[in-house]
Amino acid sequence: MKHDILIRIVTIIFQVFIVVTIVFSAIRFMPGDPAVLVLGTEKGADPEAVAEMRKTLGLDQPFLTQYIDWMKGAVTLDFGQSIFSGIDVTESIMERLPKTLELAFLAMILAIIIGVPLGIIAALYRGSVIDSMVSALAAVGISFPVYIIGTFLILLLSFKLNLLPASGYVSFSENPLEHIQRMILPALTIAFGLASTIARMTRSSMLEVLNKDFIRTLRAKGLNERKIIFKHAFRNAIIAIITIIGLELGNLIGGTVLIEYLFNYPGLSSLLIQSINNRDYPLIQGSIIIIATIYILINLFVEIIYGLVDPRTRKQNR
Amino acid sequence: MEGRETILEVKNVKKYFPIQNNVLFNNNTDYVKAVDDVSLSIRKGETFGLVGESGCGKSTLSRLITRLIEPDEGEIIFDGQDFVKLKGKSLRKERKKIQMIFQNPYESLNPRMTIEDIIGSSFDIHGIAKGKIRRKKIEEVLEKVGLNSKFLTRYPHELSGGQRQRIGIARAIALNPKLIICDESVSALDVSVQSQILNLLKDIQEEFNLTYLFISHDLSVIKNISHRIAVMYLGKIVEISDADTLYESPMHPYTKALLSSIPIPDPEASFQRERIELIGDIPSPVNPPKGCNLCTRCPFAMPVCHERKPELIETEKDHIVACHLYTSNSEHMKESTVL
Amino acid sequence: MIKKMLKNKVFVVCFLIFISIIVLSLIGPWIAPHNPLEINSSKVLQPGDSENILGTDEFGRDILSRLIIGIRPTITVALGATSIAFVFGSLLGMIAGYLRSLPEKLIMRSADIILSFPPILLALLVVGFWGGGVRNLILIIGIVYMPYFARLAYSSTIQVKGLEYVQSEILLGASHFRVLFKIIFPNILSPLIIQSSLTMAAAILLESGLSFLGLGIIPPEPSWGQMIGEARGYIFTYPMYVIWPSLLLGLTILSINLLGDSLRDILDPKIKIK
Repeated sequence: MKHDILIRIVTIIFQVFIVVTIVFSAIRFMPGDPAVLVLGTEKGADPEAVAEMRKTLGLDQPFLTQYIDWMKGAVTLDFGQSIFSGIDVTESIMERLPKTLELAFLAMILAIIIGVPLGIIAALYRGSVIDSMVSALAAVGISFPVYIIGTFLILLLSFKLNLLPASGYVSFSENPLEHIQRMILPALTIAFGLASTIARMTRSSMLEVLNKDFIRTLRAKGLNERKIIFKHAFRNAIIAIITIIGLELGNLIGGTVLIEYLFNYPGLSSLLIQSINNRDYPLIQGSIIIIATIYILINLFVEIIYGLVDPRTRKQNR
Repeated sequence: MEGRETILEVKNVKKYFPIQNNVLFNNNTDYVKAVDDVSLSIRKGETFGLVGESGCGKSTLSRLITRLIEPDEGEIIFDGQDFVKLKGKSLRKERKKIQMIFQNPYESLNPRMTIEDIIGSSFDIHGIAKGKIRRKKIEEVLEKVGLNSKFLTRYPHELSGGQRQRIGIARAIALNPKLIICDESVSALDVSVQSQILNLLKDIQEEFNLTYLFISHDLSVIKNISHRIAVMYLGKIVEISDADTLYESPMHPYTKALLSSIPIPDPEASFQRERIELIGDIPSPVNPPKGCNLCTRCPFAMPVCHERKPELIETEKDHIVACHLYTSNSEHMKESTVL
Repeated sequence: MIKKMLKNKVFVVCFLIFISIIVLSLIGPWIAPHNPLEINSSKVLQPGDSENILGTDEFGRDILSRLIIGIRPTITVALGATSIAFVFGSLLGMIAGYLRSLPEKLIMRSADIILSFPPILLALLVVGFWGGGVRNLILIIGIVYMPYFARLAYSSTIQVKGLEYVQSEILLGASHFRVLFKIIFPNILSPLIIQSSLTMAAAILLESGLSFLGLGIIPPEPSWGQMIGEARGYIFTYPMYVIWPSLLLGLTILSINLLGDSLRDILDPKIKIK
């Protein structure tokens, strides 16, 4: 088991290394002169300004020198300064990162709270109206892009019913109630799609398990129906849920990108979009690297948990 | 069967499969010694039986001989040619001469091809015939295995196990091979169908002057069809002799144990016969014992059996065995050069 | 096989929808009532009337025409990206599974590298440095989904490779080419087709998401995702502007998802998803 984790950590470091290299190289292989693009057509005509910008972007040095400098910076989490605002890239990122993580985490919790019970109910009342409704809702949640769901939720809950605010951010320390209030819609939006997948998966794995022979044996033994459901079937459903979370992680991050934009939520993902629009290359690079690294780390985490929870994988990994 | 030329000679062939060890930097790899220094030779026109329990390496050996897997060491001389050294186009050409009939009738035919195409593959691959001539050849081959041309348009899933094996045989003989390896070819069939197929194989052998290497774990089937038989245990050959001698006077303790476990319908005879039983655990194929592979289970084990591996020695005419029990009178025993 | 397909009602309906969308994207320019790019500043954000059936957007452009023309880039990107991912991903996966050793390691590690990025992030990286547009989107979305096909083809090839009918083909003297493409490929096709439908849906989601952010299809060329992005500013003044493309986009993706589900039922009834 120890060796297993060691191998995984080495793999992670390697992966992050490749990610950093790819992101770093992007600016060198893009069409056109990045310096000119940043300055725009007016200032871009001035050769001095261009030369100055190239220096700022680090394009004046040979590839290898810049690569090593960049790597040194990356290890110490120094990604330079934002061209647009002048602020340290790392500073900007670190200010926004917790907010994105909070949003993602909240969304995930909501998704599990909504999705799992619905999935179980749909499985228990298979073929009924409830089952159809849940399945239909889940189909919508999976098919409709998250920003459409967000838009409709805004229309419904904010516009028509005036229940929740549609944008803006208030920090927890300032006003905890309002903070939560403003986070509900964005988190709910992301949670909708995720909950749909979770509900579906929970439903099908519950059905699978409930039909298995060992459940029939337990019923024949006379165990309390509720006990059977909760104890045995649920345990197997948990494995399915963790699988889903691992698979949907990419969608979760994609969700934050779109939702932060839609709700004007000051997270890391919306910073990324802003920086792309501003051609703020240092900030683009820093943001992508951080988001990708977090994605890799969470994936590792999920893998480890999965290995612990599923006895079958445990045996294999030995 | 002496005096006939040798069509296949296998010399000191080895195949070890490495086992994945989960340790990061430790270079200690374990191997499964699937085929551990096997030598035998098959004479033209005979049926050479290879018998052993599951996992003894006989299927691996068949795949080594046909080069579906590459041997780690050793020589394979087929029809006078160094079979191991062949590559690419010349290997593919030479493949026509050595074919195999597989065990699983449900897996050995491509589910998406018609019977016509399955047999026709043989011709298509080597560009032998097209159009009407191809059809005619396929029908001829089908006839030889006792099926008529209405089977041409069928798919494998529409056929019974026995019929599928007949197709497998048809495919094998389509290219007029010299040697056919029957790898547990009747093991998956019902007993009544088994004898049909065995008879078919015998008929075809006579008609086309074929040589067979017949692999099975079933002793009664092997006795039915083989002229000579080799017994295999944990990757090694332990005894070779002609069929009758093997059943009447087996020499190796393992052979004796195998034979004594064949169910005899007559309860009295069954009660009276000598039971040789192997006791103890089967050693792991990963770490076989230093001495003879059977030493942990053999009822006749001597101290030397745990120390040294026995060599294959000819004890009487055409009867070879690898067992220390027979090396004690080693003066007039010579190490076998005639297999 | 075809009979099975025709019996499954869900499949038939979704397939027809799919075909209609493709047809629409092809004949769009001929049936759109107005020029989707034509600006009409006197008629901004007007609800539907006899001239503009679904109303006009913030530049006075006809919404219906933009909706019809807007199918094109989305479908083009989806089909193009899925084709690239299918062809190259499956090919590389088969080679990796067939040859093992070095090709296997190279190909599978490369696939892992692509998979270390969440798809949208990699797309944003490319869009951020190389710009958007149909061509770039087809390329990057295709590359992003290649690993899924590669992995699938890889594991299926390994599974099928050991089967006796493949072994016998090799034994007969078949060339590697023949074994791979005539024997192995048809027998691993089913999961690959199912994956294609999943990828198509994912590609549409990805492209429309990027267009929503203003980073995908380059304006003023219309695309449903982009229209939604522009319409959201006017959600309170003219909600239908955002509702139409939203509904169409959602229903399109829904029908592709259902198509995939029904394909799964047809091709591989052993796997129970529903």
